[in-house]
Amino acid sequence: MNEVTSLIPIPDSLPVAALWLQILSLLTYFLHLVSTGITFGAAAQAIVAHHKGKQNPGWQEVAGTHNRILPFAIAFTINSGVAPLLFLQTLYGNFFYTSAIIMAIPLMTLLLFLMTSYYLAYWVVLKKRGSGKWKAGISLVVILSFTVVAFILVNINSLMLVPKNWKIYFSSMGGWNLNLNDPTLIPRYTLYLFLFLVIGGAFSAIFFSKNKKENSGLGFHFGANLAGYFSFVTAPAFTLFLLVLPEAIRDQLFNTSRLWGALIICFIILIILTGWFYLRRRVYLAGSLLVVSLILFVFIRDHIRFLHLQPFKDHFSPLAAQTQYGVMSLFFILLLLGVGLIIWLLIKVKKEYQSSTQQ
Amino acid sequence: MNYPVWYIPAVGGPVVIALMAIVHVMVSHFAVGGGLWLVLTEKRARRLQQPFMLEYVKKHTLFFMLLTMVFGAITGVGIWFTISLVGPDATSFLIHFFVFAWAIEWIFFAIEIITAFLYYYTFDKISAKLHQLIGWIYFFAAWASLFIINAILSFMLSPGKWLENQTFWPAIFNPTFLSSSIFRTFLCFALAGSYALLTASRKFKGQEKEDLVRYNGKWILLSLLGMVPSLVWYYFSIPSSLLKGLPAKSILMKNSLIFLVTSIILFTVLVFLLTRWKAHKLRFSAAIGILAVIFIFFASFEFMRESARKPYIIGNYMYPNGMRVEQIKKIKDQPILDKAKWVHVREISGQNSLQAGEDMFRIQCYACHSLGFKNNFLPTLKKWNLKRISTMLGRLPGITPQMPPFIGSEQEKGALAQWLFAKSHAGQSPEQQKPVVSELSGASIFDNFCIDCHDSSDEIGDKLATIPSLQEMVTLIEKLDSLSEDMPPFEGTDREKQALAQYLLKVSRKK
Repeated sequence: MNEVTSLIPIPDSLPVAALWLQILSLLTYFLHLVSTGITFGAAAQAIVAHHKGKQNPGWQEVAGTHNRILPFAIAFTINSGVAPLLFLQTLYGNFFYTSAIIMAIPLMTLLLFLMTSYYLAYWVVLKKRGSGKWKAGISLVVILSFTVVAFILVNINSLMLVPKNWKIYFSSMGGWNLNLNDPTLIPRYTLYLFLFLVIGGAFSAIFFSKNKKENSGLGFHFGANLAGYFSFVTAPAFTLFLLVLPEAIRDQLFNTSRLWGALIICFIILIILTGWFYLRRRVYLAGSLLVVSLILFVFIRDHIRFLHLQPFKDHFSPLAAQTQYGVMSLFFILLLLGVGLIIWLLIKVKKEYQSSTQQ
Repeated sequence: MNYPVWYIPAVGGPVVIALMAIVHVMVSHFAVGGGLWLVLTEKRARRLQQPFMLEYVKKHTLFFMLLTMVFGAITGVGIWFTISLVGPDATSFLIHFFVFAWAIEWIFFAIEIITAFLYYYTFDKISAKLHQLIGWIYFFAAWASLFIINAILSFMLSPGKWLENQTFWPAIFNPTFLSSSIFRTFLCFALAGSYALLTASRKFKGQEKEDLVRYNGKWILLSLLGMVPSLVWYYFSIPSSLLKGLPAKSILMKNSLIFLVTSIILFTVLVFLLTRWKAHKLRFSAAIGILAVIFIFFASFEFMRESARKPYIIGNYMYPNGMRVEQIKKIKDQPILDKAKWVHVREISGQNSLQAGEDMFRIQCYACHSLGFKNNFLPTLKKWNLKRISTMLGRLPGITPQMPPFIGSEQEKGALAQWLFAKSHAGQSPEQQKPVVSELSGASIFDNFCIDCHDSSDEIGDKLATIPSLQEMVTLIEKLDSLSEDMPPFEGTDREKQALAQYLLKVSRKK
């Protein structure tokens, strides 16, 4: 047993084949990525809009809209984050828990940042008075908190992939660690931040294009520009991230399997096209391309994680003797019923709301 | 020994879990009971055509949303993080085995969020019927979340038939599941009424305040009618093997029982008096007081439930330090440092035995014992010599049923004992230790050697009443370890032995 693998904990067994959990992980991570992007984007745009509101009151209205979106977006970001974390812990729990324990203090601190930003987001909405400058300041605190949260999570998720770095535990068993020596850390982190801004901008562009208010145009153009320019920035950021990956992984992505190389190139082309169409204000086409790009990104990200962990596949969870396909079926049935119920409810509420406002 | 340990010995991991769990459960249970409270109170307000009551529901909805959706949601994630950091083995097992139960709970959580938003933001903007339907859906989703989480919590206490067949449904419908579900449901209602008193006492005055306070008082008292009997039922549905040792498990356990009973009586009396008599004068501080009392009740209940489970974290399956019962059977007396993954020392030598001792502490004891704030055993060990520490380790669980057995070789036990001795005696070597009993009195020797297990000399005096002479008493003390597996040998000097024998003879003759 070599020194690195000797540290990897023995995994628990899976109740169903790993493929099912993989699919659920991808699906729910996609939802989480989108809602995180909306949250991050709304906070970022609120700051700028508040700042611009000093000269043009129309921007204050745009800022107010972003502020109002924020509490919903945070709620869904947290909720949609639960599921991929659950499936991640099921598939790679022995890697994830180890990494989390090594960084216990940052992980616990994350909760404080999250709670602060969530309450502040509500506070800005509920506080009817207050200057734009002041609200911009609060929005800045909110986005800085999210930036810290994202940084901590990127640290944990990157350390879990590199068991040889786990020895830092012995230098601080109290959990005061970060994975700062990992060369992929900063490129990975910046890639996410850029991608969040693309998603946030894209959401605003769609949202304001449907909004009939007088100053919606400001929000629409700002969102489309944000999505457009940051799409262009995302392409080199992604390329840089690929370049700093360990050589063995790069080799497997581009040489061993042509499929993944092709998907990566597709992602880069699509994200550039997304930017191009946003800047030309073809937001629906750009939005569709962005969705496809994000789906590709989610797959590529998952595959890169798999490639990191592949050398330790003997430490992956085995299938349990007693499987739980019946319970999994119940989950799918309840998921469909739940989605159906919510859609039905939203339609009904919308109808009644519209008829009451018309009266 | 499978995972690294988040090592903060001055605080202890269980303290972090307890702090996070206590604040979370108070809010998460409110999230369930509050759902029913909102929809029924809204219905009542509309039926009686009382606009102030409708206004009250609206104001309370905002408070409810800010507390449950922000604080409740984040501390919920916080509990998950904390248990992963402090008990990764148990968390990993529960996540893997119940993954689809958690996933179903996630669906209900999502429905909760959406309906809570809809309920608040559509107040007076849609028909009353649809608005209340949203409230009902919220309540059902929140209760379904409780149903699932409670199933997993009760499984940890009483896995029941799962231990034989390892299948999903027996794990969910375990022996304490039904009673604890009903108890927690009524507790949720009582909490909802208690929180509602906060808004009523702060935002309203005069007759309106009186009506609202009385209404909530009735709500709480009705909840208690279901809560108290279901708590008794829950108590008796706990497997008899756990129940037998329950009050005796520790002094803390006894204190919790006292807190539990006192707080529920006090809560009932307070609610009755403050909401039926001079209800219009209920102050916000009094409402906080009521809430504080039910918090104490709830915290005592949770503490007792956690303690009842000991020495396991998952009944008869896993210990808090992550070791499984089956695993222990296989390796009980074998060395474990060479099998542990996250230790500094794998093979003990003269130079590293203290480090090895600390490794042993970290992987075996730290899951429950800190070196500071909670469950710190150093003050007790300060009175013990090295030999006694080592002997007691070898006899675990012995007279302390909440302790798991010691796992490891004789050499590892020695290293742990040496480290504990050094920690508790501030670096003093065993040879330098002064006699801990400075005064040769029987009572102080009893306090030093016997009091950790025997409550008082009165209790032991009854048992010794048949010993006829001093010599027989000395002989008995000399062969203590042959009386019971749990008794350690007497490790004092001959003079101390004589003094103890005289003392015991004296107390046995008092009766």
